[in-house]
Amino acid sequence: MDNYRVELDRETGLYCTMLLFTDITNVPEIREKIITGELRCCMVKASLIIDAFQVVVAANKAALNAKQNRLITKTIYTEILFYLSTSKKISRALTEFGINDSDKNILVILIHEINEEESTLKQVLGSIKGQTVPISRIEEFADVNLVKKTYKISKDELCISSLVNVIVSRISCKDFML
Amino acid sequence: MQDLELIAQGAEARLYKGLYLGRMSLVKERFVKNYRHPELDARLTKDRIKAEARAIIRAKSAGIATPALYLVDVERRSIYMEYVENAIVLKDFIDENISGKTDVDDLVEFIGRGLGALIAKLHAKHMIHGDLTTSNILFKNDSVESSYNDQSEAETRFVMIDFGLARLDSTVEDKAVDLYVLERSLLSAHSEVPTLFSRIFHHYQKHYQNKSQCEQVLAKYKQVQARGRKRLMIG
Ligand SMILES: Nc1ncnc2c1ncn2[C@@H]1O[C@H](COP(=O)(O)OP(=O)(O)OP(=O)(O)O)[C@@H](O)[C@H]1O
Ligand SMILES: [Mg+2]
Repeated sequence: MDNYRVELDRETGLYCTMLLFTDITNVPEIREKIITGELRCCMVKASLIIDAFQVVVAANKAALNAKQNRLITKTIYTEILFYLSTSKKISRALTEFGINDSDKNILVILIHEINEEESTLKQVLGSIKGQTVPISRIEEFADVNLVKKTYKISKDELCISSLVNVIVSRISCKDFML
Repeated sequence: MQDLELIAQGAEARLYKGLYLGRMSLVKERFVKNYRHPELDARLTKDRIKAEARAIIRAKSAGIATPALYLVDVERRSIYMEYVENAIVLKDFIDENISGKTDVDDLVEFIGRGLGALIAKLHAKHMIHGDLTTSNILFKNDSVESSYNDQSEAETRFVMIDFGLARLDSTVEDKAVDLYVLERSLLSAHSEVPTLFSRIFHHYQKHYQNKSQCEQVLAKYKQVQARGRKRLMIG
């Protein structure tokens, strides 16, 4: 399968698994299942993700907040959306990175204990009408200019650092920037 | 973090290297100061960690290479950041490649050009590093030597680290002191390379975009230097 798994901070005991889908034809149906809680996972617009590591850093922060009982948003999955965004407004962050009915390419993110992801993955695969693609191809589906605009990244910065490194640095400091 | 390896222990922090989130990382953990009241110590440490992380981000925005940040965890008193690979502390690079060697003018010029431009960028954005020494700058050793004449190359080969004493809202005097700290540290760490500071200083002035602001820093720097001399004479 095309899923990709990373161990998060040891203290959380949790892992992050991602699955990339393209050419999805039933987004409204999927959104409904997320809203009702039938599907428990995080879905992000693939156009705003240039590297899986961008998600890993946000998911790690979300997992630590959950473990330490200080989630800023309702669930660990909305927390990922919140940390991906630079906005301090939760509702804005969720609409910015969360999926719309018009999206075709979606990154699905699960946070789970070791080897506990199988059933949810099956459920996700069964619900989404679309193609799975290896995570290594994620950059092909990103809108790089939109990403730069979203994170307010300047040219100067990109002379000395890669885009993903600038982004993860911002995510890591979200709690106390501005 | 698994399989942490202690790589350095400074006055304020322990530094560990290891894999974190699948990346080779460096963890800078500030230790507890037992002479301080525990609550005060915890608060001061949290503030220092946030200030250091913020300065790393701001310096990056200004076009200065700094390590990428992966997690800032004030409860664990730690910053998790990119471990800069294929790099050595500038002090070691100078000791190995310049000190006591002949035909090193190009290399000294290269370092002067890179550091001068980077410090000017930092100061132009009203930031100071606060502890400019060749131990707090990494030199990326990974590309070929033939490019020691290139300006953009000179600016991208150096990575600034250790922003523990940095400030974001610095005055002209702060900037002058920042330069003076560098001059003093070069004199003691690299007395065999006596032209290094003047080359850095030359390029600092050349690259400082706002010339009138640069003039103010220079004037202040002369005062700071004179004060420093007097202090040395008194002992
Ligand atoms: N991101 C990094 N990548 C590689 N090596 C690093 C990195 N950060 C630090 N080092 C190494 O660790 C040493 C110490 O780091 P640093 O200067 O941040 O700590 P320190 O001097 O103990 O801090 P402080 O001055 O706040 O007490 C550096 O001289 C360098 O050799
Ligand atoms: Mg240091």
